[in-house]
Amino acid sequence: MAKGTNDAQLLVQSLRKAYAATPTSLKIIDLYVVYAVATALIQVAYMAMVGSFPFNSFLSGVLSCVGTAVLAVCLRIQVNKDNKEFKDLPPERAFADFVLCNLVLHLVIMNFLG
Amino acid sequence: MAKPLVLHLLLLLICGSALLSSGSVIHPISDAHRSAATEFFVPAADGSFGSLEETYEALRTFQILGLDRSSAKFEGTCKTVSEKLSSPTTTKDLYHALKITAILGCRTESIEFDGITSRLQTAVKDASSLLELYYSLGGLLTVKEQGKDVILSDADGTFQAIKALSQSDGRWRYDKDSTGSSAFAAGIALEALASVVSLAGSDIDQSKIAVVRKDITKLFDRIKHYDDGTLYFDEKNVDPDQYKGPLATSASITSGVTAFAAVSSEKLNIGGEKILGLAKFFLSIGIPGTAKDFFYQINSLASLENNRISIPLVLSLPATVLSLTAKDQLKVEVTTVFGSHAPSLAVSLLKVLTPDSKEVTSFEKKELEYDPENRIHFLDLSPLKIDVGKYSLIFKVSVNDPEGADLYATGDQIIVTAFLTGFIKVDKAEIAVSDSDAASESVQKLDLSKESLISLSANHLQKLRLSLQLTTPLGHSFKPHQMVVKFRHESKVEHLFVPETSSRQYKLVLNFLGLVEKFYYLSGRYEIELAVGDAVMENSILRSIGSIELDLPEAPEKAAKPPAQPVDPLSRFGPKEEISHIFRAPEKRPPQGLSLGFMGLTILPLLAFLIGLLRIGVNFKGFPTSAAPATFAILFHGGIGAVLLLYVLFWLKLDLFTTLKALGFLGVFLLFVGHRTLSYLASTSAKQKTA
Repeated sequence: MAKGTNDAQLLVQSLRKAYAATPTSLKIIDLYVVYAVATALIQVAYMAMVGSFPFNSFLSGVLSCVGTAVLAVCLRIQVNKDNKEFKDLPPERAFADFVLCNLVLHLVIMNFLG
Repeated sequence: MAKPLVLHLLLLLICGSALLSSGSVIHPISDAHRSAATEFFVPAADGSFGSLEETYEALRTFQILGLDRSSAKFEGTCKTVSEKLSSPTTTKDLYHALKITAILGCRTESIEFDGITSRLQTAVKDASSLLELYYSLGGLLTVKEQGKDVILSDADGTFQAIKALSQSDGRWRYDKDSTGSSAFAAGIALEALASVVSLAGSDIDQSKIAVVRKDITKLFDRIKHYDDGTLYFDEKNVDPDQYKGPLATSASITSGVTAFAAVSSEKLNIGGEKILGLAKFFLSIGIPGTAKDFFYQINSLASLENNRISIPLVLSLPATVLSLTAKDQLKVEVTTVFGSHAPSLAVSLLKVLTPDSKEVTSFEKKELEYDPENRIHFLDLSPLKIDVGKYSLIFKVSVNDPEGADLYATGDQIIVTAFLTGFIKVDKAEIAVSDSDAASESVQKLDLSKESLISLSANHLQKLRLSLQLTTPLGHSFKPHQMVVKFRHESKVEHLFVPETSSRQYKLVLNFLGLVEKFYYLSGRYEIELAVGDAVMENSILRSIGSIELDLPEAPEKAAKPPAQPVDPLSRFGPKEEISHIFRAPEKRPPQGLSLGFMGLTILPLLAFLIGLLRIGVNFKGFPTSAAPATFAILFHGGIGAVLLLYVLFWLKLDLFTTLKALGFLGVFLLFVGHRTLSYLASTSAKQKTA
């Protein structure tokens, strides 16, 4: 079993090293995604504790987190230089899309929040 | 052979029942009529009552009833009437104007009677219709009665002209051209003929008058009758405009016939009973409903009062309810139709009949005594020993003077309904509660004359017995119209029972065992009320006897519920019951602390994010440094911040429309600025790449 844990540790370390190589901008985006998901999880835990009233507020909160995470993931895909599909797309343009979509998402969310 | 006999018997029965059936109550004209007349005929400010005809009718009614005609108002009438007489008017107006002058006794100096007479005489000559002749002849007669000298030039010709319009059945036509004849016209024609005879200078041929007498007899063959001996004339309603109705037709014929009888030397062949029948018809109207009907009634009765055929005498009872307790006397009045006194008469009570037309055998024919002071015939009832009840009294009136018997019409048998009331004794009133095996009874005597109330108690296994006897003043057993015993529970549920009668006693037996369901299983205090009533009972009973405590078993589940008691109808305007609204219970909210705690917890990831950013080594190196792009960059970030602020405001207080409006402006601005910034950044990074 010591081998098992050793292997796991080795795996984690290699992952860390690989991850350290990613560009900063992508790391920022990853952190943002983690932040959004963590907020969503906290909201779900709250709902689990006190019940789903008012349901619309819960949905809007969770969906805003999830939505913005999704958009961030899309941005990451588009900005990643290693991604051959989006080679010709300037990252600023992707960022502009990200901002616009977020703004629309948050308008809808604010309306649904109640 | 049998058939004609049967028919005869039938006819006899019909006639007999017609004679013996009781009729409407008839009273002679009294002060009630006079006061009604003053209410009906109300003159306008100038003293007229509407048209000239209506004024004449009103004044004639006042004259007959003896009402005041001398008021100052009528001076104006005199003036209007005399103006009418001077100006050219119709014959009808002339006739009415002359009549009014005669009734009011107006000053006649200013009236030119010669001119009027000549106008009327021309009218008589040129008359083409019956009404023209009637009015002109009537006018001439009135002028003659004023004292002027009037002679009808061609009396025979006029008589012939009127007679020519007669029909074979005794009726008259209105003029030569009309085909329909009417009885109303007959009355008018007879009155016109009487005027001709009065106005004639030389006597009219008696044979002509005899022919008219025959016509009158034929006319009276058409008379109709009601069951109680009332007679009247009527016609078929062929033409609604021409139809006058029974009152007008009878009135017209009465006036005509009495006028003609006055001028005919020989007596008319009309029986006294016909005159009496007509008088009864007019009197049975009572007080008429319209002014015209009033005039017809009063005018006809006036002509009957002093007619030459026979004067009708009317028998009436001032009181038809006589009390045996008060020892009332049977009082009878016999007067003319206007209530003036009759000649010396003998009134006898022939028979007394019970409501089922059986004769009271203990009664023999009695003659009533006469009280000359009050002009009343009376009879003491107590020695007659007639019991309480409703009776038909049959009277006969006969004139004492044998010569006078022809002058007056008294009728054959006169039937009047009377009530004899008395005090009914209640005997042997008892109420008792007994066990079902009738072993023991607790009897209590009821004394209905005292105010005492009894109180009993019973359970559902017992019986209640209520019995009493009712006796008339003469000692016979009495059967009232109504005897009801009512049991009323405290909750106002009522039950009614009718005692049964047997020989002399009324008995009510209630077996509570059988009545448990009827009483809706309601135990408690029941009030007992007794009601005994009858038309001839002077001491009808409606009172509470007492109360009974009833103990009934419990109601089974399926028992009928007692009926809902009527609610006071005004209570629905009172305050209604309070409505307690049930609102949606608000959702259980978590405690405030918990919610705030979690809000704090949500902020944590944000802090973690910011710390993480710092750890990664985020920097602002890419921020443009030169002026214009920097402004744009700042504006870009500022724009995004403004939009987010707008969203916060939207959540807090704005509505969607305002937000969208603001968002529109901001969005356009942001697009522009963003485009500038990002394109600058893109160009910079492109330069970096190539460089």
